[in-house]
Amino acid sequence: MRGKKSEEVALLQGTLDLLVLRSLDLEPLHGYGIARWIASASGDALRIEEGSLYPALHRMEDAGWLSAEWKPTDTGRRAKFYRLTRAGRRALGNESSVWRAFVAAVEKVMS
Amino acid sequence: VSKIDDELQFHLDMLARELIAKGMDPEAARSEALRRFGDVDVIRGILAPNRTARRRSIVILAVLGLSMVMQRILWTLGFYHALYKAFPFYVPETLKNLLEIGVCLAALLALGERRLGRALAVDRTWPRALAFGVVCTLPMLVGFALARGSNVKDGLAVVYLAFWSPFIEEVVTRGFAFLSLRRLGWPLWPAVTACAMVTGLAHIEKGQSAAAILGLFAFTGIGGAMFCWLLERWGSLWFPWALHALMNFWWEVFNVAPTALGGWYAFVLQNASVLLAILITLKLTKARPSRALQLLADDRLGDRGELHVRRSLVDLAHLRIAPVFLDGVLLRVAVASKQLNG
Repeated sequence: MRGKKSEEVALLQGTLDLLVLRSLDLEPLHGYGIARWIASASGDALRIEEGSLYPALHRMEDAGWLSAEWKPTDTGRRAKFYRLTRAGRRALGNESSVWRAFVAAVEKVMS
Repeated sequence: VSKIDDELQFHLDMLARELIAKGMDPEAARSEALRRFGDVDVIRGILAPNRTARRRSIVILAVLGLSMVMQRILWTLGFYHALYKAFPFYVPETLKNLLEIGVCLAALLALGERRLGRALAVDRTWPRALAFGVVCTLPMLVGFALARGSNVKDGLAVVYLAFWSPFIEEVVTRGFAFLSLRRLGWPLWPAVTACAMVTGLAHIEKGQSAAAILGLFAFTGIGGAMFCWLLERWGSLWFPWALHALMNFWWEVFNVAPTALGGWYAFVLQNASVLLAILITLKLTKARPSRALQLLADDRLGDRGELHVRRSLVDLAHLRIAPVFLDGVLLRVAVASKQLNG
């Protein structure tokens, strides 16, 4: 069980920022929505410790990649919704190409 | 309850609801939600400094504003007027200066700083800084000396205007406000701008024209930015002070008033000095680590999802390897990813 958990963490090295940025590409989401999106978009293969999203979200908000707004959800309860800023969209572009290049390079080594 | 607590609680509640909808009983759902979320207290602890930083920034800028309007506050008191009548202007104004510094030192202590000299970047480099100031202001010395003689009537007034008054301004605006904001993680230019805005706002008098106000903002803004940048590069308050003081000094010694000398002549000499200061500083000092590098350093506390390369950089930063070296590593990483892309 323990071994399995550390395997999951290793899988996530370097990708949380990218996953968060990608999840906000289509529409503004709250933290819980981002966690659900990542889980479902990856077919439940990627499970993050959901609390670790928030330091990343706040840091990217401070860096100007995300802007945030408190809005009512479907249930009427208010939640903090994050959206990509222009700088965030640029960062998503950069991070994705770095990621693709990284994956391609590792793939080249492995094949 | 804070916004951070609200935000985390919302997540936990939604997660529990989801689990209940899947058939878990409420008690089990809540503890499973907590397990999946991770350590709430640790995460709250990571997020809290942001909140504190915001509150502290407001205190710092408010204290800066208070120092800036000290003259106007004291002006409402009768005994301050009496001091002006009985003594030269620098006597009551020195009293005012001591109050200004006192307020800033009290604020630093209240913010938890114990080593005040270090917090204000007042170190032992003042002889070197004075030499820097003298060299940079040589154009003013030579230019004014050629154009006119010296005629100092009140030596103490010159000392006050040239050395003491700039010292107070540097301590309050640069050493206290600017450096405190930088320590709270403000990037260079936003910190410069915030200090310049407060300084500018505090100096607006009633009934000034829009042009005069804009001019004042531009003047305090550019001057302030210059001195902040010197402090940033040299890491010592004495360097902006020395340039500030010696520019004032030659101005006072040669009794320069822009109209008397033809404004452009003094203006050119001043700008030559500033330009010289910039060139010497660029030549002799190194840039501080970039914002990007600071963000990387923050990541160590931040989250679990950083790039592996970045994480190892952060580890280097933690070992206090010189920023210069870190910059090199960062550069190599950037080059490597470029090559990967190409």
